[in-house]
Amino acid sequence: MTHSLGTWTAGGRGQLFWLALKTSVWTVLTLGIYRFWMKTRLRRWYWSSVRPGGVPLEYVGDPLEKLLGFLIAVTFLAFYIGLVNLILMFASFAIFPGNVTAYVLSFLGLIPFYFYARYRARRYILARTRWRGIRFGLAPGAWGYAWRAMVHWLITIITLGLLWPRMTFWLEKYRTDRSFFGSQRLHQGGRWQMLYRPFLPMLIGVVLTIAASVAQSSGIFIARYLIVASVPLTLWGFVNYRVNSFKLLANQKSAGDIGFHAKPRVSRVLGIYLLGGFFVYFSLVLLLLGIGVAFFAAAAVYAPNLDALAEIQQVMARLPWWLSVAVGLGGYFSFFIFWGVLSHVFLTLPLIRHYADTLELRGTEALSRIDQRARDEFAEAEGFAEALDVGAAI
Amino acid sequence: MTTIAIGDQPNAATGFADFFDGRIAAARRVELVIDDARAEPELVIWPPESDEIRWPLSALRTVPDQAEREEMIIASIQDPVARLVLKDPDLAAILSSRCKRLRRRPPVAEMWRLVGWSAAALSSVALIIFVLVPIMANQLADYLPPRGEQALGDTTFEQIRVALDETGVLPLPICDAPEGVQALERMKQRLTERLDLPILSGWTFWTSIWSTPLPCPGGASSSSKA
Repeated sequence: MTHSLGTWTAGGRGQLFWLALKTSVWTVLTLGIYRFWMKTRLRRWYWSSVRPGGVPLEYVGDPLEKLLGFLIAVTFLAFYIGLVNLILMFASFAIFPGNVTAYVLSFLGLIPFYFYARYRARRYILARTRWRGIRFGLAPGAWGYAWRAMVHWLITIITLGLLWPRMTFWLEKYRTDRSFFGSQRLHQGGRWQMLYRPFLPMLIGVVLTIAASVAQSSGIFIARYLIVASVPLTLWGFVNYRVNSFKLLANQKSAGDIGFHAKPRVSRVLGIYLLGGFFVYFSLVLLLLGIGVAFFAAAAVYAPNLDALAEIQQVMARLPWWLSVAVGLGGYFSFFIFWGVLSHVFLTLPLIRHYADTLELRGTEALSRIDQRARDEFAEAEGFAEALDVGAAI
Repeated sequence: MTTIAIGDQPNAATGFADFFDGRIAAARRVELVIDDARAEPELVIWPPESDEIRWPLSALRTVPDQAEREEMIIASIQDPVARLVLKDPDLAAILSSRCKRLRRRPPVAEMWRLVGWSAAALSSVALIIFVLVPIMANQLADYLPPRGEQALGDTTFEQIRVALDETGVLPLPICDAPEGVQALERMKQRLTERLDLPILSGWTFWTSIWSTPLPCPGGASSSSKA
């Protein structure tokens, strides 16, 4: 008989709210330097909130190694941005008078770095994740990943998106087959064709939307009613593909005798996106209203004879400079701080919880045969991902 | 079970916890005892059917930022991977009061590397902006064909036109009134009488708060007037 372990979750929205708020404020006050501490602390909290078999995951990444990695990446990227772009700009003006070619080539040149950075970021995160005292890991292979990802994207674009599931599967297999839990290598089983079923609704939605748009622009006005149905179908299809491809891929993953059983629900994930998105926007509207009220209050004090709504510039001119700066900077930063904090509380946390709550490990008696793996030193941490802003969700 | 003794000597506090030794992925239920008999008090961990492990109380550290508040995760600075998961609130309270460094964070390791790479990052950016780009731009300018120079001038001209406008959105209007064109033509003749230039094109008047001539690459000289 095989044993199985469910996954529990711990910690509440309130805890996360205060941690995210506190660390975001510090990030602003330290002109961004604290960002690396913020990411570390938030990851530690998120990881510890996910408890397969009642034992929390542990994130052991260090803020200073992130800062160091960022500096290393900046040192290298400065050469790319400065020198390579200058040469490209020269060649572009010399050969095809104009700068468009240089911009296109510079963008294309960054694409391999983008995939490289994503793989390296994943390697760093796995190397700093532990469960039951055992390290996870990802074998080196970032350039292999980068060229594969580019070929898969090219095939997907040439086939007008029809082979998207094939790309999803093979890239996931490349990453999974190089992942380890301690001494145990993971394996991605299954076939890419299995992802076609969850892909169909999105595909149908896109095809219907394009057909309806073409029909409408050629004078068939009834086609607009089709768009009313096909656009929501596309959006639902997108969420459906993300959730069900995750589920199918997870259920075909194995770590030796250990298997996974994931049961995330599309309705729940869609609900989190819609309701969470609503809460985030609603709270931000409230914040903007608050800033507006502060402005009117200040106007009533310093410019009582002016119409605050019609003569905004004159009112601004009469406010003391420190008040304008405080309201301006405070409003600007609190908008972005609350945007980030509320997204954590209403989107990231509920999503992680749902995926964790519905995940089960099977064959866990094999756990006691898994040994530790060596530490992956990894000097540049996730520096390239950070510098290119392709970091993970958290 | 936890015993708290009152008296001169703290009594042996005991309890249970889950122990992960950092070598295999198995959890082990262990008995914990604080041993005060030695010069430095130690936490003794007794796994079933194996030797005891001793962690000095001064080496114990909690793992911070945990979502589960009912639980304390303890590590030792002597062992980077082993973990104790403690659910017993009484023993957690005793350890909190007796281990003064429980919440201390590790010192900044590799400070010199951090300083070194900070300096490298800053100086590489400075080197590129102030040294390499000017040198390369100078050298490459010799090889830029006139057609390319013209294109560069036209692009620069449009960029300056937009940048000089105060709204930052609309480009500055170009002056094409007959008097303006004539004045520009006279100025052009006076300026180029004794010069032998390969291309001369794009003399333009625009209205701006500055009255400074702005030379652009490729002979596209733009004169501005208040």
